[in-house]
Amino acid sequence: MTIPREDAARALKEAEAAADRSATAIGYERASPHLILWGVIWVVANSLGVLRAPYGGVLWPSLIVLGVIGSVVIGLKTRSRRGGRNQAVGALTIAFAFTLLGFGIQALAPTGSVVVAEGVMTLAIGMAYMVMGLAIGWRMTAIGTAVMLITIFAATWGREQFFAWMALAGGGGLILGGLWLRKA
Amino acid sequence: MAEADEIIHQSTRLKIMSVLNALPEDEALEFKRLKAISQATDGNLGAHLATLEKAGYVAIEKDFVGKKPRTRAQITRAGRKAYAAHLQYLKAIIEGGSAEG
Repeated sequence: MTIPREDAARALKEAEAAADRSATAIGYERASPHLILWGVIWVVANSLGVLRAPYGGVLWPSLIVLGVIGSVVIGLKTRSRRGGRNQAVGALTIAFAFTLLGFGIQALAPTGSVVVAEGVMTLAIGMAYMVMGLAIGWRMTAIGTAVMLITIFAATWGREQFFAWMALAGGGGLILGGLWLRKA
Repeated sequence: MAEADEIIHQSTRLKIMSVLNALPEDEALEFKRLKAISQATDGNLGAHLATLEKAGYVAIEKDFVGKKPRTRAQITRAGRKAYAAHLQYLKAIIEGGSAEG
């Protein structure tokens, strides 16, 4: 069997493109349940924020602990023997670190404004998703961008209904984003 | 120099092998997902998978999830080895001109 150089180059290019699509699809598949989980947490926390629940101070930290436990369980369930493109799980861990960082900001926020603190925290998470997109794929970057835009919009023009915006658009957006990754 | 693998070299089969080779070890891919990622059509994916299975490069598992039938494909150890050798062969051609396998 004789293969001309041009055919070999074309075949190699096709093989690399298919392998890249496969790795991206695996990354999306890994990231999807994490996004859905955090979307649900977002919806619950902000819905209770809308209702001005009296236990607001412990609400977010409690939900974050639940989220991290949930993410670890999902990570263990999807863990592969070889690792593959499991950066999704590792990268999402960075997002949780950003969440904790956000709480640090919240604790230190001199104004004590929950809207400002949650806004900063959400922007940090959106940025983390955008960075993750560089490793996982453009859909992740698009989700991060959407999260950031929704936050800026809610904090600037929807301040009166900030928590409702964050619950519906932020949390709902993450859930839809997770489903979108699953369909990729 | 490594030899050309005529089974793998066919365009759709090369894509199928590339997709499956990118999966973590011991992980299988559902037929529907494989079709989408490899950009194959229903009919030719089935035929090419059968060829790869016959060569021992791919293992096909058929089971049920509830009442729904599910077909999954997984690259075998021999498949990974053959795929790596074929890619090596292609790279050698690009570096040194056309070659006979």
